[in-house]
Amino acid sequence: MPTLFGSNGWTRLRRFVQLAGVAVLAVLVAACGGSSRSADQNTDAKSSGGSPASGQSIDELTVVVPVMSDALDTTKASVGSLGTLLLGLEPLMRYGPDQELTPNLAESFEQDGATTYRLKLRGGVKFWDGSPLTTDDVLASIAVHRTKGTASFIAGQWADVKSVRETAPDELTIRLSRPNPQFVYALAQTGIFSKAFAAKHGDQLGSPRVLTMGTGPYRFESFTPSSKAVLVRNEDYWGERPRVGRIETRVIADDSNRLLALQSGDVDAIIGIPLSQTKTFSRIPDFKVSDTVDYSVYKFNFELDKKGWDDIHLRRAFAHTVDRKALAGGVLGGAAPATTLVPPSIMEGLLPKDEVAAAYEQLGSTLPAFDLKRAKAELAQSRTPKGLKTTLLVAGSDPNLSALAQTVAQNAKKVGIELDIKQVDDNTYFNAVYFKHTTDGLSIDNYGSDGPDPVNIPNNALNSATALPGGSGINIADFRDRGIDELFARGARLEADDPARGPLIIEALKRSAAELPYVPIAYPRLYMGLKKDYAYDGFSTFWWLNRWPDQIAASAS
Amino acid sequence: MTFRHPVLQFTARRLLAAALVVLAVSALTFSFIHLAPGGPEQTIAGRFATPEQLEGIRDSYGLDDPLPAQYADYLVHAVRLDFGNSISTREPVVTAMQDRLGVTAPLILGSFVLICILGTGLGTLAAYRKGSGLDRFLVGVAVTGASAPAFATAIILVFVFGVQLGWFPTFGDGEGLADRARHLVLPVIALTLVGVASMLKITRARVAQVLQEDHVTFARARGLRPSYIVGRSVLRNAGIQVVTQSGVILLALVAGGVLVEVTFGLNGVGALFIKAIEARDIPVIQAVSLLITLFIVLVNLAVDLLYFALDPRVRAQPAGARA
Repeated sequence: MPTLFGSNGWTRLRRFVQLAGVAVLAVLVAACGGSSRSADQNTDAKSSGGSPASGQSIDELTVVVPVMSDALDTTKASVGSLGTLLLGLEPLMRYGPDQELTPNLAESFEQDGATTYRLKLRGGVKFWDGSPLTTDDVLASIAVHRTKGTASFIAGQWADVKSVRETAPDELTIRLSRPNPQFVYALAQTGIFSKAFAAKHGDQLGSPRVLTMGTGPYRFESFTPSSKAVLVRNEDYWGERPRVGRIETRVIADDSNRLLALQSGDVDAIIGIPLSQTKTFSRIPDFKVSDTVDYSVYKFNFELDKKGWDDIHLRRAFAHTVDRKALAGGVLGGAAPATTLVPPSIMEGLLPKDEVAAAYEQLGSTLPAFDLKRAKAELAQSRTPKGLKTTLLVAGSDPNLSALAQTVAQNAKKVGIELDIKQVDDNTYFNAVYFKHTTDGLSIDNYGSDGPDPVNIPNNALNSATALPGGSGINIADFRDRGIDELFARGARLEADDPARGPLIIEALKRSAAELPYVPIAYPRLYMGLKKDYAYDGFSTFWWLNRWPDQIAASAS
Repeated sequence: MTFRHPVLQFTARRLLAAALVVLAVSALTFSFIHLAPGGPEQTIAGRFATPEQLEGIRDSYGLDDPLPAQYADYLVHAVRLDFGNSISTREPVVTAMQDRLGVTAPLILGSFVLICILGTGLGTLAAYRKGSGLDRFLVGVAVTGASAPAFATAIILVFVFGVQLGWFPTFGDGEGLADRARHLVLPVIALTLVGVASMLKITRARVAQVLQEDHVTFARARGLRPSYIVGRSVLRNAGIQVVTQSGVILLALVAGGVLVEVTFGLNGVGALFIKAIEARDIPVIQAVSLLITLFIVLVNLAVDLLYFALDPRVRAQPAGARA
């Protein structure tokens, strides 16, 4: 096909276009935002705005979000995309900004032993069409994640559930096949929809012309897959009156367009500012950027059964070429260098701060430090003393992966490890890195937790159950250690907030560090921007589990 | 009747060839999708899917059936214009394309009409004033517009008219006719600026050439009105090249439109196509590919048929000589 612009290498072209566009824009923004404050002055690590004027209504809010689902369907959403969906299809339990789970559509919730949960359904709740919420609706909403062959994104969170039954009028009892303290968070991620509406629309449920039917504080008015959703206040909501009259959540994929949209004032807030753009965003006049710790980690992964990388000396040699401090401060714009898979602040949910600090210091000393001489020495002891050439895939959707890989590649080349970095589309990347483990043995990813529990990432990355061929493959290293599996199993028998789980997780992290299945690089921060007219109270990495529009208020300052 | 018959023959032959082209492209597209690493099951089930889940999805969509069987099944449905549902969004593919065409069609056609009007109009003016300051100015502006990458033009337009002046929205495709039109103004201008140069240049060159020909000199000598000379003698003679170029531009706008859609955050067919490729959404990829192939084939056919209308010498040629 003839083309004005050329059509080869779409991904590279688009990336180039984005980068070039951002460069052009950065100049324009700098030129026109001369009086605005510097990035450092404008970035507030703790607060997300002035004092919120609580209770004050907001007519309209346009928010750029990092991701949106392909359909308004609870089986098609996880993590960030739940941020829009759960406003309409609300869950039984709501995870609040205070990091507490509170009953929502469930009026009460109690745990009976390690494997039994009882929920009493809230009475008098109605769907947007006026029909009452029943246990049948809840059972149907849960069943879609549990039926054999389900394609639900969050099926794994329901995998340990043995049965869900109505044991009394308006009472559900959920029994697990084995203890799992993370299960309670599944209740906060599972939206409840109308069974009758779902039955009526079949496989069209959640599509743009059908939408969906929930009980939430906001009901869907329109939807464009993976791009835009418009929600309006549910005036008949059973709980506290929703604060915002109309919310438009949007994904703007193009970096420069996103920046312009913010600059124009058409957008009120953005959640998830790309790390490469935080300084540019903070120069926008009348706009405030704030950040919070993100429960995610950038890391290199070694597939332990791949030739070459099955050698601890090669793994250690490569680890010595990773300058975590420089990468965190430079490429990732002020992230914290990582010493293990979990950010320390997340572990502080289970253990006292000083204990976490001591444990992390020890973990840090185990991790090979940036030292090219020692890298060469380790390589000399390996089965590939002359080094090797290996392909490293990076996903185009996260430019940080490429930037990190290219920076490390320069040092690795000095010791004889040559990285051939290839940018591929997300599907190819996910297929090779997560689903099939078909890389050359080395990969890089940014792994974010899909739930607030501190054990989430360690369990996913280190438990034999998540390795291939039987597991999801999220254990990229295919790391197996019975002792560590047992530590996770012991922790699972405890309740979610039992501090005794903390030392077990730390122990698992320490024991795995000796084998070096992963090289943690950095804990990025999550950035959010908001017009100065507003304040966002309690913004956190789990914003998508909160009823977040009601945390935004007209700023009193 | 003697005139129409060869045209019908020609059209029939081209339609037959077009059907073969569409078939070949659909088979190639089908093969490439299945050869690409990854699959739709990963999009459907997400990052935490187990091998069992992935296998179940492949099974339910028949993705492990032999490729010829899958292709035959696709063809049977496609001839009835049944492209099934999108694997990722679940909506019927035809519905999704209809919705997205509501953005893409005005974008492409609006730009095309503007390019044709501005390109031929200014090109003719430049040819009449060849060598003058106006000629140099018009060519200079056109070349500058064509030289600037579409994304840069788009960004500058948004920055000036969206951010600084606040006249137009900076992103999205709007709701309702008036809002949609407002949202499409800047994208249409961006696409027009890039495409108008080639139309202006070909028109200018060809019109300048025709102006030197004897029949124009005779027409002037006979005292015919300049507007009559331009319409009947000049543009009609320059028409073959201009029409050929317009076909090329229209097809190029389809490709360029994808980039403009992404840059402006428009939910058009191009954006749908890109998303479908990333998600390996086979039904959508197949349907959009087919739509684009058909569009290309029909535009080329329309261009060929316009030759008949514009130039009697083409009509006079034996059918076989044109094939």
